[in-house]
Amino acid sequence: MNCQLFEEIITDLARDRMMEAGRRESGLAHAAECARCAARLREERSLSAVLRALAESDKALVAPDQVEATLLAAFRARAAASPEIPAKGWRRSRWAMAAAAAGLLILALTVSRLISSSASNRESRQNGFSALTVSPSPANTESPVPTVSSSEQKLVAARDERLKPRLARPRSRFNRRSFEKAIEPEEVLDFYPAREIATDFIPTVYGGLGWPLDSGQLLRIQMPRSALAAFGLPINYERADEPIKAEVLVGADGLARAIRFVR
Amino acid sequence: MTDDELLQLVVAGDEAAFTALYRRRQGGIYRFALRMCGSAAVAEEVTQEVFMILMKEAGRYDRARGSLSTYLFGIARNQVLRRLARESSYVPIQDDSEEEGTATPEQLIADSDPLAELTRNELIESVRQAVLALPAHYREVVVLCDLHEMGYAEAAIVLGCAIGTVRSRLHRARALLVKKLRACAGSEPASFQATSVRCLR
Repeated sequence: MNCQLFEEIITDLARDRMMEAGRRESGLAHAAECARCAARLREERSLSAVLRALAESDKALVAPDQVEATLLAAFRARAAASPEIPAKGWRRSRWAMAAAAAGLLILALTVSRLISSSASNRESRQNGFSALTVSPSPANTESPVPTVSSSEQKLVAARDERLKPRLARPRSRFNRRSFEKAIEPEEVLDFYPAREIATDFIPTVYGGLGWPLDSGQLLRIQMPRSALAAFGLPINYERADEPIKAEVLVGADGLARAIRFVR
Repeated sequence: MTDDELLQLVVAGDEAAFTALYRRRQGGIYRFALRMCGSAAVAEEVTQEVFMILMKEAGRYDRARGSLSTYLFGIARNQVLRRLARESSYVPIQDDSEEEGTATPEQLIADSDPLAELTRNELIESVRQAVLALPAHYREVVVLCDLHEMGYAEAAIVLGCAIGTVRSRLHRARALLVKKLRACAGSEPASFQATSVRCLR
């Protein structure tokens, strides 16, 4: 070992740290031969000894009792503020659940308004378009909407199938004002861009996608971007007030089963 | 009961567990802050803040990334560095250049062992001041590795750097300490005691 290599291990040697036995032996052997390195090692060992003495003299130092008293007071105050201190991670999920509940409430109100609006429009227009309405009942077999089985995928596929010819039409009939006001299905269809990206369906009720769905509607709605948070999706808070598009899968019972977001 | 078990109880609102955990870990945190800042008042503040954060943000502790002890030291370090940056008047930090830390072995060799010339108490006080006079990034490795006898791996977790960085910083920090102590021991014996603190800064 030379002086340079010795310098690399001198700290571990002086501090009596675990190291390779071979390196340790050769380091000590070098110090025995080299007066300069021996002096360095002596100095480093003296430093280690005095640092140990400093650590020893500090051992009795602890934070004053008032710190503990302050902390315990804070702990009790926190406990009093929330009688049942939640388990790890529960607090976050509690907020998420609250946000989800708020989101669902908004969604339910929007959907109920849409349904009533859609029903009144159907009644008022004899040859009106019953957009995306699907039903296995014989009364509806003449409807341009094909009857589908009980799976939501088929329902969506049926919607897409119906959508194709309409997408080719000019978009002059699109009326943003009425879309924003009542979300009229026919106008919504015109609003569909040729290429859209949609998320997977997110259940809005427990087991929403698992329930049998014999008939229902797929409604396109508009909602504030902030509603994304209720479904655990990231949002840009600077654009939280901006509207976003979504499609709600509503069962024949009027219950919103699932939602997906469209861009 | 382990730290992790106590922490689980703390999260569940067990005051006794919090007290036990605090009493087990506060000494180390307090001494770390004291040696880093040189101020008992700041050390108290840091200690209080560390456990306040633990109380509020216990869920952020990830056992996979290190022990609770290293987690607490990490918080304490951040608190200390924040205060040092904000209130630099607490510690008269000497900005030793990297060149000073990389002194050659020849520069570090003295004819005799200067440390042996100081009495034990003087030595301890001198080393305490010498540690305080180190740049913060050298001081923290000395405090963790030498004063708290923390392993390189643990210190690396606390400092958020590589083990090799801890080793090299410790080597340079100790070289600086030797240099400072030798400078003091080299003072005239009659005036050394009175000027020992000043000469280390």
